[in-house]
Amino acid sequence: MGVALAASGTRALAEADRNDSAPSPTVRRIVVLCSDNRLHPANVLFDASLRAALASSPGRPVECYTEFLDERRFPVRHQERMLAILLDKYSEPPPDVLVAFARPSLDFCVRHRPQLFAAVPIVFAGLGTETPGDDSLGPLVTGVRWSFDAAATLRLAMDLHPRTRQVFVLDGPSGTDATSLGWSQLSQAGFQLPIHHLADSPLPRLLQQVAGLPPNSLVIDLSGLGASLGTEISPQETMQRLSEASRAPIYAVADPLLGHGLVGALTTPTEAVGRATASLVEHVLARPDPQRLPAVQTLAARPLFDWRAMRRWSLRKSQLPSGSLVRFEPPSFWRQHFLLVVTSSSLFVLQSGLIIALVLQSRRRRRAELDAQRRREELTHMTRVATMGELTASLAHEINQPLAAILSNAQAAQRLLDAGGVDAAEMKDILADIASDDQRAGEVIRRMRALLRKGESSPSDVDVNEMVGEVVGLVRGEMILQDVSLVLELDSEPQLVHGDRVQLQQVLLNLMVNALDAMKEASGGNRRLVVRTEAAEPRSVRVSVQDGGVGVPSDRLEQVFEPFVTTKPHGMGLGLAICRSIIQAHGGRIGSTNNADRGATFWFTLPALEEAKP
Amino acid sequence: MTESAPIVFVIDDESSVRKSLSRLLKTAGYRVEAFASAREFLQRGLEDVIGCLVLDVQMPDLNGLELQQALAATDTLLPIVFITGHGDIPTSVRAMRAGATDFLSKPFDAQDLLKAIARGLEEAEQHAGERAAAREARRRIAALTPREHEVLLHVITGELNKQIAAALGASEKTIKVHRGRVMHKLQVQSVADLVRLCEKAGIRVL
Repeated sequence: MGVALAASGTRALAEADRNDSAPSPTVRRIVVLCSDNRLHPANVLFDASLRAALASSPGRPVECYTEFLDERRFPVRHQERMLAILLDKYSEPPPDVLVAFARPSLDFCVRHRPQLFAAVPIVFAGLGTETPGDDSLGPLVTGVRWSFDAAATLRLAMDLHPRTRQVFVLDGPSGTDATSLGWSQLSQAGFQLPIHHLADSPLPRLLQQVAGLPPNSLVIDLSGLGASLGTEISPQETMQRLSEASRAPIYAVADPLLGHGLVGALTTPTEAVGRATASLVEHVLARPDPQRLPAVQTLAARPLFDWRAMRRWSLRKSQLPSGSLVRFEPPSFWRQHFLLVVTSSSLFVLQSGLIIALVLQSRRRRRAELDAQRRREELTHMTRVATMGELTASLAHEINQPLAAILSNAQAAQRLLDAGGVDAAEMKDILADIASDDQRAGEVIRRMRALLRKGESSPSDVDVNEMVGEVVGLVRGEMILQDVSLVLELDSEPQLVHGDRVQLQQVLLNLMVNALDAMKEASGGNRRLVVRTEAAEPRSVRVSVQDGGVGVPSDRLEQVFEPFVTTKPHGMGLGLAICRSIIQAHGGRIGSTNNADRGATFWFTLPALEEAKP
Repeated sequence: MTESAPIVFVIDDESSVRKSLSRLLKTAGYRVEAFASAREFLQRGLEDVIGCLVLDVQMPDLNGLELQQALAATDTLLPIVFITGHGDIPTSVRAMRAGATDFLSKPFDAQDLLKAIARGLEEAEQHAGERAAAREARRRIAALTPREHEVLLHVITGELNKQIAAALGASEKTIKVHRGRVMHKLQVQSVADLVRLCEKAGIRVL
């Protein structure tokens, strides 16, 4: 845009000049003469940064006009044509400053100075520190030098690639500044390893050469262009293709091609050169003494790197010397997707937190459940023991009976033998009786042990009728002791349920012991305990224990199953609560009613087993 | 003395106990009759039975102690040996106070039981003898005429014939004759014997 503006401005001004001899005092004009062609990356970078810096400077506006010598593609005679064009375009009025970018341009400007803007100050840029001294350039010349050090570049590269065994140098066209200078720098530095030429050849040949490099090689690009003459391929693309084909990393002494495959360069960034040039131009324009220009500036070099090429050659930022500038580093995932990352990671954190909290809670709950279950089991066991404890007297009685019979039998046998008569049949009889009585005693003990054992439930198929018989066996002694008669009304069919035998026995035992307690004060005819089993709806088995005792106050028929409700003076009040939890755990129901005549009936139902076993 | 040999009655609701006890007692030479309950036992006639009861205290229906009371109400002379699976002290005390011969806890030694039974039977025999003598005395006294009975009563107080004659308004000679007939009818030799006979019959000396 600047160029277009400049062009139209030029025409306008030229016309104004013809019409009006005095140039406008407000606008200052700068002509930039670049070496090489318009699209050369160095030119592009320099021109852009120069214009940007000039545009943003305070003070009077500056107009830039950029011309290109393109002297490589055109022979010397073109220079004369260029001279004519320049004079024609920019003589009236002459520019305020002439900027010469790169050596060829400076040479041209100096050589043709008498004809070309003799009084116009020249500001050069794009020259290295080794280029001819300031004095030889003539008056009114100043500029910005940049650091050009091939040896330092090679040293930098060798530090990063310590296993390098040989170096290949990409020469520019013979005679160019950079190449000869670079070579002299390299040879003066006295490197121990061999340094070879990669001659400036047509691109296909170059590609072959770099592809065939031996391992542990380095390439230093002194040409600054990477281009060979006569090709239509741009320097950028040439460097791109070269670096892709190359088996060795390529380092350069200038930065314009950084980004097209070069790994790094030890140089002054061209942008910095442009900015520094702009600043110098400003100073020149504003100089108090027309005859004295500000001094030449020398810009320092710094290592520059291409992040993508670094990755290709496995270089890490931590290996780079301090002060290095890494270009083309994509913004980290973090920076690119900042909001997304923050949102999703906070969501993730929240989610994880929630999951952890839930897991912890579930684990705590599970542990509490286990604790509660263990405590339940202990309590069940304790009440079992307590209930059994209430029966110890009668259980002792239960065991004493067979023991008495056994002893009497044994002593009878002894007496018979003493008397001399050995009746074998009689003896057999006696011994058989002894054995069966012993087993009977063992049964009582076994049942006691089963009920007293602490343990987890083990469900099985249980015939309720059988179970009633077993419990009755345990309570019988107590009933005799207490002078209570027992009536069993068991269903003729086996009443099968699925459950824990011991727990169900405990329930029935508890109910029966409670019934006996209820009848402690009852008179003769009422001292009757009826245990019934029957099939009930829906598909259940119903067991009831009926007593002739004092009954339950009608407002407490439900309440008696609550924990800590007891009528016994020393009772814990937990027996019925535990019975209820056992029955409910079996999927049944438990309850109590008062009988029509006397006493209460405690009952429970259990779901019947589907198929009766044959 | 009755004709039948003594019987031991075993009353226990446990069949194994009944069976083993019966066996044991038979080895001691006793006749044994076993019953499962007190009621069953009461249905057996008990007149002129000499025997002993081996009785479990805790039984359904009528228990041992109740049976003891029932028997005491009748005139049956059956000593009771209590056996129990339950070593209950108050029960045993009650039983002994009510006149039981012994109270044994199961399992008991055979010797202990047999000794108790023997003791009981001895007592029973003794009582039976005493009863028989008393009955005989009463029978004899009942055979006296009213006049003789009067005279008897005065004689056992130690009064002389002269005093008795004066008390009853008869002659001394008549009294002497009555006295002689009483002694003869009651088959006693001396006044002392007469007194003893009257005691046996239950006639108290005033």
